[in-house]
Amino acid sequence: MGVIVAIATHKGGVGKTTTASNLAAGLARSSKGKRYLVVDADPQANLTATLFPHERRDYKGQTTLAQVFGGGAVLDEAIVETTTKNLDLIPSHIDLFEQESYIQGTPRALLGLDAAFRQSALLGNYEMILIDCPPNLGTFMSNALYAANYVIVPVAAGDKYALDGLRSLQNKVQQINVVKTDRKTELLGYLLTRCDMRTNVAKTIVKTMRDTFGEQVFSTIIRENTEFGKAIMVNKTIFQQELRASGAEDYADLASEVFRRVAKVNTGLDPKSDISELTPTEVATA
Amino acid sequence: MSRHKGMSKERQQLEERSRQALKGLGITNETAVRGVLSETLGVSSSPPSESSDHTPPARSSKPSDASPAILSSGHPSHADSTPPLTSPIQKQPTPAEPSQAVNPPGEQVHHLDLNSLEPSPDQPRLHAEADPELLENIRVFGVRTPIHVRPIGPHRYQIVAGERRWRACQLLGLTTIPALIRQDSTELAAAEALIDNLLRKDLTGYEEAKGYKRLIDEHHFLKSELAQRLGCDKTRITRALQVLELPDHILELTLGSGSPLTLTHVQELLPLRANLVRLQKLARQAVDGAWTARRIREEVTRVPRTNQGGQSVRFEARGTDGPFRLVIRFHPNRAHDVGLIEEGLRKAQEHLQRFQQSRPRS
Repeated sequence: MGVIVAIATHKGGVGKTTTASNLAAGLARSSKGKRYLVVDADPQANLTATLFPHERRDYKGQTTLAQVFGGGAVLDEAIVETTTKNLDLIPSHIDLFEQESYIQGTPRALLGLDAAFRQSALLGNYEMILIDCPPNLGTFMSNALYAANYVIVPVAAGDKYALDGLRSLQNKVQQINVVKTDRKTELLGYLLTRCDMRTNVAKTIVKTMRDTFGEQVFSTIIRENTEFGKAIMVNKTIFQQELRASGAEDYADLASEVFRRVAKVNTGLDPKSDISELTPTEVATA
Repeated sequence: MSRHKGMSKERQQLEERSRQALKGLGITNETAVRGVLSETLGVSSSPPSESSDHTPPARSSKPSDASPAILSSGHPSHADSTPPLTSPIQKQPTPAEPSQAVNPPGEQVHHLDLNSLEPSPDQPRLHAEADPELLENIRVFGVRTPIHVRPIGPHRYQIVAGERRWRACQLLGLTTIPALIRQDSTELAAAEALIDNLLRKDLTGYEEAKGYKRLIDEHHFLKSELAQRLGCDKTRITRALQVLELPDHILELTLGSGSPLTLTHVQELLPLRANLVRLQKLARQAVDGAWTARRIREEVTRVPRTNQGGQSVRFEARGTDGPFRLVIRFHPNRAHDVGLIEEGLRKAQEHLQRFQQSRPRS
């Protein structure tokens, strides 16, 4: 099974779901022939709304993560193909919210997602699995963090509250790592998002993050870009919406950087041959 | 909490720590805790719980029937070697560069005999002569940054980065030079050399752009990484790369030794890259007239560009009542299109006439 990366922060509006969908799309687009999976672990199901192939498929009767947690379904039944080539999705549903109270007193409150992953037969086909977490430090966040090998923490460069939340997230991961006896969950990096570098606030936050965390902050930053909103409006990834947007370039760069960071730790992935950095202009003419 | 004979102290401590952590995660129900612990630590001989819950634990007696490919990702466990997440307060030590570490702490600086060194054939700088400023600097302060070399024989080393410093030392009549000896792979060494070079101030625009391109193509740097490493803006790199796409004779003309222009000037010519005739003409003028970048930009935009979003000619006719609107829009430098437009207009007129004839006059 490929590497599992959770996109986690308990602040809303920092670009977590945007990152999950566009990073996944970026990875799927630039890696030849390898398949990627993104799991929507948020009952709000925003990621699902964006990536689910609405034109091609009816959502009714679709198995979602809600049924998997409910115990009735196997994870493999929930996988759908998205409109982005080589990218698949495990959708979520608002019913997942109910499941939270059901699994509270059971080991599934922490291990449910991990167990589902382990029992799946199809997950081995994916090069990398991304998990979009809900914006709260609740049960599904714990599940995602436990199941994951790495965490990417988006930090919006728009307000200082973003920095305050980092410590609680770190505590949570530390606690989970105490319980985890095999491969621990590592921080892959802090991702600076929504960067409007014209503002002093953004510049300050970027500088503070880099000063404090150094190499743990991704080199790539995601610039504030109105195209993201437009893309979400019509249920597209930034690449489907506007290839020339700065957002597309940023997520393409991020995909390369994520791939390289993961490849550095894992011997299984070859950083040179599998991914090439595609800039928007190159893709437009290819 | 579980006191059993035969359970090791270690295991007890581990269990205790896990329980604390689970409490922090909001898992307090004893059944759940036991369920998790049996999963993560292995089944202990704790007595079964009295309270029953309606959902069974995640892993009942189902054997782990997942195929080996899934269970074992084939990667070595990093449980001990991964750095824990640190709290925001704790300051990070100087971060290492993403692709290669420079001067790992504690690396030995050797003072090597100047004669034992030879330059690298890979050296991208075309005329690696020491300049007077460098000479003066070294004369006063000595060589402050050790050069990088790699061993190629007993007491013989090849300079990976620092050829100019070496030559300066020779000119100044010094005998030794501080160096770091690295068994770098040739590739790291070459990358190091390229980067070192790009930090020179008197690099020509062409050399700079070529340097970026090599680092990105051959050494797989990201533009953003490179920008951070070199302390410049990522856009500078992007523009430099775009400039390289221009035809060779233009690059020769505008960035060669006879030209007063820099990369910043030449990038203003980029919009003309589709129109070679005009590009050539303006490039020649810019070089001869030593135009400023602003002047170049003005001259370029004086005529509508051929790319999308360029100025277009637009004609619009609207009906006074009802939804009628006729719009004609085209780019004026595509002269042959005007013929097509006229053709189209004629056909539209024919169409209109036929339509009028077919319906009865009211």
